[in-house]
Amino acid sequence: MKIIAAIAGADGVLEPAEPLPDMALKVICDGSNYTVYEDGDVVPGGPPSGAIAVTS
Amino acid sequence: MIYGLTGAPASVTGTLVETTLATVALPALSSNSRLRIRVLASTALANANAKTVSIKYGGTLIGQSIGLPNNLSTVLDIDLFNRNSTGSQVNRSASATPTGPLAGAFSTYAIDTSVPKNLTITAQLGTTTDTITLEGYCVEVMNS
Repeated sequence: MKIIAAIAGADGVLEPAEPLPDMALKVICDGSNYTVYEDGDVVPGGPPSGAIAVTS
Repeated sequence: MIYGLTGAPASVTGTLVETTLATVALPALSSNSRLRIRVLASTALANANAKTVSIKYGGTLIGQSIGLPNNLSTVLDIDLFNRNSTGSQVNRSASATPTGPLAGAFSTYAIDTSVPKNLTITAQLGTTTDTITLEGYCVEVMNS
């Protein structure tokens, strides 16, 4: 997992201090940092939120 | 050409400050380019708290979610056309249902698209305990 600081841009909107990785599996911003989960990391919550599990 | 495409989720929680969840670098457009954007967003709880997803092109708001409070998901579908000029655009109303007849007039803009600009997707909460998740997006540029 990679931590990237959240900073206020010129318009006051929070943005990552550096570009978010293209291959991120999941990103969570808590107002202070962007936590970036990449391949090999344990991604919290399992399937993406909003996804509906389909079983036969 | 597709300039941004992902189905990997990006979320914000714990802050009331508008937060960038995605940034897509776009090239300069031509005088009749079309910018097509589709955004899927969700929230963890269907409560009445304010939750807003916005799409900005070069800092100008060109689309905003409606109805995300009291619901679990929303789709933003944006079609921005250059009007035979790199400095004049038309688009659906910035906050409108995705398709079909609209009560409001189309929105017009004067964005200088002759130079590369970033497109950003942001989310803003009304209550810090809520969550907005950008579930996926696709950003396309079509040139005539």
